[in-house]
Amino acid sequence: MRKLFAYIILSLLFANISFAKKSGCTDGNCNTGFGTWTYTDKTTYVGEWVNGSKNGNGIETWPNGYSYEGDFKESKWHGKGTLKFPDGSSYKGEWKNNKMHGKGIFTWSNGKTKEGNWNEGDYVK
Amino acid sequence: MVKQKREIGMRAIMLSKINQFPESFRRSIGLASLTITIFFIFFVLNIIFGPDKNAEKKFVEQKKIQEKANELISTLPRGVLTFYQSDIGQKLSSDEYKIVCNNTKIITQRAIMGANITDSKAFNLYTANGGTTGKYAVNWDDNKKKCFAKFTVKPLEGTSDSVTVEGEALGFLKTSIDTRVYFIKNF
Repeated sequence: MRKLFAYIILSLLFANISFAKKSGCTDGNCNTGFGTWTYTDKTTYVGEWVNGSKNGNGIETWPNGYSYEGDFKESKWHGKGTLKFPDGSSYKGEWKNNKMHGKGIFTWSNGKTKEGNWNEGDYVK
Repeated sequence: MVKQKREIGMRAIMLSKINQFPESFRRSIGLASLTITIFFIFFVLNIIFGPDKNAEKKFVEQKKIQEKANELISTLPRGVLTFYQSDIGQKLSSDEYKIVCNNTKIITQRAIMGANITDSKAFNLYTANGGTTGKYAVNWDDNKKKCFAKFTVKPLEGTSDSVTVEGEALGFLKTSIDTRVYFIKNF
């Protein structure tokens, strides 16, 4: 009985450790350097870190198919980058605080494009 | 005139005869008439406002359709289901797309965040309000043969501003419990 109890406790402990490894900083240095952060919903960020924030170049991939590749500033999409939508549409251009801002080109999955300027997420020609 | 007098006379005779019955008997008769009247009223009301005669048949048909849908959904793999060409997940057929749509009620947070990228008003309100949403709905449009998902971003405390985002639901997530909207195309 005691052996069984100890076995259950050990199994839970190992299971907990293995689950814990699946989220958080799963590879590299996620403080200052280059590292991979995996969120509990399987969103991942692979890229540069400064003082625990996403800063520099990196790729953020959402589990539902969105992916952003480009510049980050204080963990936000900021600078130049490309967002790919799950259906194949994309926006390539400038970003500010997670919003399309500045020059860019939006391409729909059917090949149709829209080029111009965006202001805080809104297209302004 | 004579006829009227005769009728009045007849009534008086009837009343006097009724009054001759014992009190308990008269009360029983009254109670029985009241019960019959109430029963009759409810009978008439039931005919006018009562349940549809075909309700049971419709219910059985709906149950069959639901069972068929559940059976089909159970055969789909757990994970991402898409209605577009994609490297991830399983591509749904038109029939599967409709059934999955009709049986999906929940929109995931990632789908909401994704749709907000192309809707600055929703993005701002969603961010300012700590990522809270109000009502959401997933509906199949028979005319367009498409699945539509919409959600309302809750107004900030003290204001009535709210934003409703609507788009085509093209991606779903199948969990062990249900199916959920995973991608809304609103651009």
